[in-house]
Amino acid sequence: MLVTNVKSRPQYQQLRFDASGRFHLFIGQGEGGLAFQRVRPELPDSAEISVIYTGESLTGCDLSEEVSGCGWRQLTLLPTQVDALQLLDEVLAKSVMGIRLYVAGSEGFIGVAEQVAARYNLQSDELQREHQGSSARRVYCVHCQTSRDDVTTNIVVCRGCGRHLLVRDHYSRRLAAFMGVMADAEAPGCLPELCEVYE
Amino acid sequence: MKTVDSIEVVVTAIEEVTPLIKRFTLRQIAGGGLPPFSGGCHVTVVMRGGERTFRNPYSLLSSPRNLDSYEIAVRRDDQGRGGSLFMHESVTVGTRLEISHPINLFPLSKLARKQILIAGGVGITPILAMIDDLSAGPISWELHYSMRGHEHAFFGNWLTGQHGDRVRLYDTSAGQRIDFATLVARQPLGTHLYVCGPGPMIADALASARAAGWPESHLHVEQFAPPPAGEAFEVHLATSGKTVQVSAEQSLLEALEAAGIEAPYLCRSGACGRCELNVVELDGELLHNDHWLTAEDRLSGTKIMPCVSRSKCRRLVLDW
Repeated sequence: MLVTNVKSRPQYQQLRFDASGRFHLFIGQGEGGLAFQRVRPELPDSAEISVIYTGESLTGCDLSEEVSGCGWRQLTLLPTQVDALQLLDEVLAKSVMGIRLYVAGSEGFIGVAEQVAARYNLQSDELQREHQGSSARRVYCVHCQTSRDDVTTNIVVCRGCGRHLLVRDHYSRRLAAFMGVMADAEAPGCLPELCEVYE
Repeated sequence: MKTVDSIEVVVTAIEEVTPLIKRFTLRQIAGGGLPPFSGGCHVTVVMRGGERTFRNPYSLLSSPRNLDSYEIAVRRDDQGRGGSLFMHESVTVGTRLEISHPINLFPLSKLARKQILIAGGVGITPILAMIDDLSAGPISWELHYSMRGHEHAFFGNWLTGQHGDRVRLYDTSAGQRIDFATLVARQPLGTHLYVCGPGPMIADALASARAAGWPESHLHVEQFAPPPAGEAFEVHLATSGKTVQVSAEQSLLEALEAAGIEAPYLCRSGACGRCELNVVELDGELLHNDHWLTAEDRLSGTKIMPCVSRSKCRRLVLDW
């Protein structure tokens, strides 16, 4: 089993309003809605805030109603994570210096949102991340470069090339995923026992 | 132990580019290429002027693509401590000098989407080499350069000739000022701001950017100010058992060096953190002038940056 203290894994915090920014963009998914509900009361009325949320999640936790109920002036609800991340890209392309980005949801969602933010050179003092929901790992197949978001086991079959991948503890921020390497490369068919590791 | 390797150079040309600024061309005595550097680098020039040795940092302004020689520019400061006067009056073509390897405490962000450079007066020097780097790359950039009167416009005119519209000049003698609030508003994400110039200009630029919500990671500043003078005090080095007198005009680091102690340093302007020393005992207060120590460090009273900071006391004991 490979569960250890993963040094490369990002440290997630609780979202806090950052008064040094001038524009505040919240983007979340699934259980990330809990973070938005919690942080809503501390947001000043005068702040320029927009929110993007999608109820799509591995766990089926759709908080669209609860998030809507918090009373945002600018809220966009979208059906899928892909839609939400696409809108993030479009909003950042039009944004100006002074923005603060707040991301909440699964690790996979946060990681991909950070990849989008990195295209606009958003740095750690412009971006906050709160992990909510499943600890499933996003895993990148080092052989065929396909990623999947929903990995809860130590060994997983790659959707791209069908190899059995051993999920390594090394997290790549650039790829926003844990590395998956062929588990039975030396002894084909000889695989460790499959276990649920990342609930 | 030598903390910084030096390079022996000879002055091969001196040019008066404005009434106050001389440009010096330096070549390596040993021959061959000088060490590579990037835009924003500086070297520390060691000036052995009679009783007192000055070590002043000067930005490299020449093209980082030319390693046959380095160029620095020195603004004459008649009220200064003497380093710039030494360069202006005692250094001639053929003078041998010792310089440090180039160090960059003002580097360009490689991931920026847009670069805004702001310079005032002789603060243009690091930015000249930065522009040389930028003009060879894909990132969009612009320069706002403020100077006093046409006789001080040498670098500004040269840059305008090279880069046209990317360069905007402001003549303060004609009342022209950079409007920082407008400049920092509505800049695309990933814009970085670089400021080198007089203290008040840096403060204005930073205040405007922060008010517009710019995060610190996008703000870059360089300022070479001489270490502030103060009152004389005595410093005792606990490990070596040596005692050194620091005069009112000397920095703590300079006093240590004058006593033959090779204390570590890099930037000599309180920015890099290399010279940090631990305070063991003090019968007064520390006067911090650096940009390195955190608020907690300062409160603790146990750390000092000897390149720019001093102490108002009779006796300071350092762990060295």
